[in-house]
Amino acid sequence: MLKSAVVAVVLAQGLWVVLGGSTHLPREATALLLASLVLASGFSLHPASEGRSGVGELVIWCLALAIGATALVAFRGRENSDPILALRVGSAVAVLALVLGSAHRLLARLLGSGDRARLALAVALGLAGAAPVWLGPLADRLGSRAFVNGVLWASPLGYLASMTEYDYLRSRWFYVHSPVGSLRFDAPPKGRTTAAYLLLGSLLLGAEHVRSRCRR
Amino acid sequence: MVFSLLLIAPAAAAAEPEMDPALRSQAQRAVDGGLRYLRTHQAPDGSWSGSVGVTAIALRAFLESHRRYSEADGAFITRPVAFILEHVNEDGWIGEAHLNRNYNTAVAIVALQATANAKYAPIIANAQEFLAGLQIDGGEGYDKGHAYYGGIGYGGDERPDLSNQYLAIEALRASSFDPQSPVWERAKLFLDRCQNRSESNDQAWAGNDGGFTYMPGFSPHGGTASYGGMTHAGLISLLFAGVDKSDPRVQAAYDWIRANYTLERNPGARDASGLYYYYEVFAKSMAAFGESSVVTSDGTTRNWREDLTRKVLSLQHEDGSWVNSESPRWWEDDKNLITARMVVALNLTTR
Repeated sequence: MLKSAVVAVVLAQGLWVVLGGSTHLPREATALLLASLVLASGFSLHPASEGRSGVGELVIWCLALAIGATALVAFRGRENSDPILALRVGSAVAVLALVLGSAHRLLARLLGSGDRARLALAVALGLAGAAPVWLGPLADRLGSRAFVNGVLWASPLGYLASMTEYDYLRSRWFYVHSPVGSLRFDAPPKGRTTAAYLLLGSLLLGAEHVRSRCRR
Repeated sequence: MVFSLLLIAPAAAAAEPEMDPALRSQAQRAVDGGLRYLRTHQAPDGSWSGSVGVTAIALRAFLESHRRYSEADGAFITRPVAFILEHVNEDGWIGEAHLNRNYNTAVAIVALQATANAKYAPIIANAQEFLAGLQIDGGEGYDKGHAYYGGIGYGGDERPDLSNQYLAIEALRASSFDPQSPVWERAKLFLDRCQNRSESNDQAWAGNDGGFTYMPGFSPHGGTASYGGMTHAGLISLLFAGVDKSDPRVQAAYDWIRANYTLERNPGARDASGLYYYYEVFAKSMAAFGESSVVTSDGTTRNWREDLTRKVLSLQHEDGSWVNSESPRWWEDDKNLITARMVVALNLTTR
């Protein structure tokens, strides 16, 4: 529990800095921050992340995170609450939770340890989320719209940002630290990206199921 | 004709610009070449590059050219207009996605205004309100002392910058937005905070060379350095926001331009990124400032129209296009966009 709280606080602080270090976060940026917090906290809190629970529990866990994120976004808005935004955030959180939970279950089986799997996933997520920064110079040199889109569309942060319709690459921190905001790119298409992540989550679940049967 | 005057009104009292007739003819042939390139690369739906923004700038290039194209000339004009209109959204913004809402809406306003068709007035009015609504003010919880106050950004995040600010101001000016609106005074506050002039910029980072940087405290070319693209954007923004030509802020910006006058590169930039943006905004700001000659700091008198025209002509490709082959930033690797921008620039130098 303590570890989870520390993770959540560190993530919140990091995201707050990246999103402008300001208390004037636009509604969409706040939604992105809340969604990320819910996912990060949920990932480290729920037993499903230990890879020992059933698929049913995984699904319930995904729904719980989704409902929590939806409620947080809806209530945070208060005066200018946008129920459509809250629902989009909720569905994105559910989908990403499915991918995270399934990936963790599979990795836990492969590595023989839930903690090692969680760490590996966290590193992978960090790299994916920060891709516009460390791949930025290459993207600038290539000048390829397809390359930049690939970087964004494969990033859970890019997906969350598109679902909140927040242009995070033009936020001050990203614009200063990455050239990607000045290149041409397309926001990940909401429907197609959601379907792709759902498919990925399902494939990971299937792979974990096959793996567990082979082990018996 | 009225539209064009609105965008160069501060220069109304200036003398008729001089340009060598032979050079003017060459420039007009170059414009024709650019427009031919655009026509052959226009999509069946009338758009260019699948973008409302690029389509709007290309449309403007046609409408403001010496050929005086209009909707009566055919589908190559009516289709891009229709493409723009198909992307008018509920809140008044114009664009194909939530990205670049300010940019796309602003250039679309200018293009629709250039058609001189009164039936687009309600759409333009709604688009104006959208741009005004993007401006950072008390509505977003910012007070006048904040560096962002009065600024306008891309429209997907609140972070404002001078480039988006200048485009929004140009659009509001072109479409005769209420001159009494508080939008203009707020805009001036943000402009002050982008200028390296400590007398009018209350930010600690402000230098004193009179030039402008991209946003308060940041230049993509290092530190808070002034550079050509933004100094011209700052100059035109001040003029269009109603600041008098004799104002010290305007004079400081013009003095920076005089001291850094060159068309071989974007002065103050560390590479070729944004070079063609510089050429276009150079033409716009010099036309708005209204002097036919620029006396540089070393005492040389330059005919800016001829200088820019010669430079732009020298960069045109055989197929009539232009492109920045050294940097893809700000879409300058898009031939349609850069060709349209250079035609807009030549339209101004040959006016």
